[in-house]
Amino acid sequence: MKQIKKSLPLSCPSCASPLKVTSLACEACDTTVSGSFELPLLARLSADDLQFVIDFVKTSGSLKLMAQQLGLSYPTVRNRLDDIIANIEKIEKNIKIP
Amino acid sequence: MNTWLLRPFTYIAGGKALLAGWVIMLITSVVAYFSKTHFDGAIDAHIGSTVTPYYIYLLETLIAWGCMVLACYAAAALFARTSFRLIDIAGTLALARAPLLLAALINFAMPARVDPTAIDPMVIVFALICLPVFVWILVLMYQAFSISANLKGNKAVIIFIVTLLVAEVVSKLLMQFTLPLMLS
Repeated sequence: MKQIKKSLPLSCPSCASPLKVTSLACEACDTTVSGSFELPLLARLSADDLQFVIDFVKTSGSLKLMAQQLGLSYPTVRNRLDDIIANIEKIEKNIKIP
Repeated sequence: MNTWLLRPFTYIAGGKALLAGWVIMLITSVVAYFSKTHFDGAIDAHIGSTVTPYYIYLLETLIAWGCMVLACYAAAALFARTSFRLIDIAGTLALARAPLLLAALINFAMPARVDPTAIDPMVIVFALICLPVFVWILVLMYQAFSISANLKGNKAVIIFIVTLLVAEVVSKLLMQFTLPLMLS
């Protein structure tokens, strides 16, 4: 049977507000930690955007190298990064960072 | 396939696009010389029968492309919220002119004209046959501008239309004043 790859839900399916983590579990000893935890900023990005950020870090921030690896043009990759930056700024505005 | 035809700049831009665009522009100017097709404007093609030296065809292409690059660069400097590179604008706009080679080739099939200024059935036939080519060029030029300056949506379309009109007027004026000087 094909395994379904689950992705972390980022917003409430009912009201679209950002979701928080209320429970964390250790699979080794079955301990559960409960509370209200903010998701890290990068974890709020979509899976594709997060992968792009990881690739960007792995290439030491070289967009030229990323463009080569992805087979895309430099401005396409640059635009993708600019869109992610805009998305991060939007997330920062939406969440109240203490 | 569609992406390569309508959005090739997703894959190619910058220096590579500029080099490929220049080579195609050079070939287009040679074909235009033999088929007597003038690309005398940012997005213009006219058929003519007057004898004109080769360098005029090359200059027309370069002026048309140069005006479009400068107009798009100015528009990007005014409206783009993120950084952009001149080489991307220049390269993608050079490659966006590639379909003009088709227009120059189509003109070989047109019979010789007696009066180059008259709007006769031949001119209308040429315009109708070339229409899809020019729609294609417009789509490519818009994509070149949109990707190079990271501008999208209705705002980008309006800015592009105004930019194209400015480039058209400036290129027409430049050609009107410089080309006769070169010929004299």
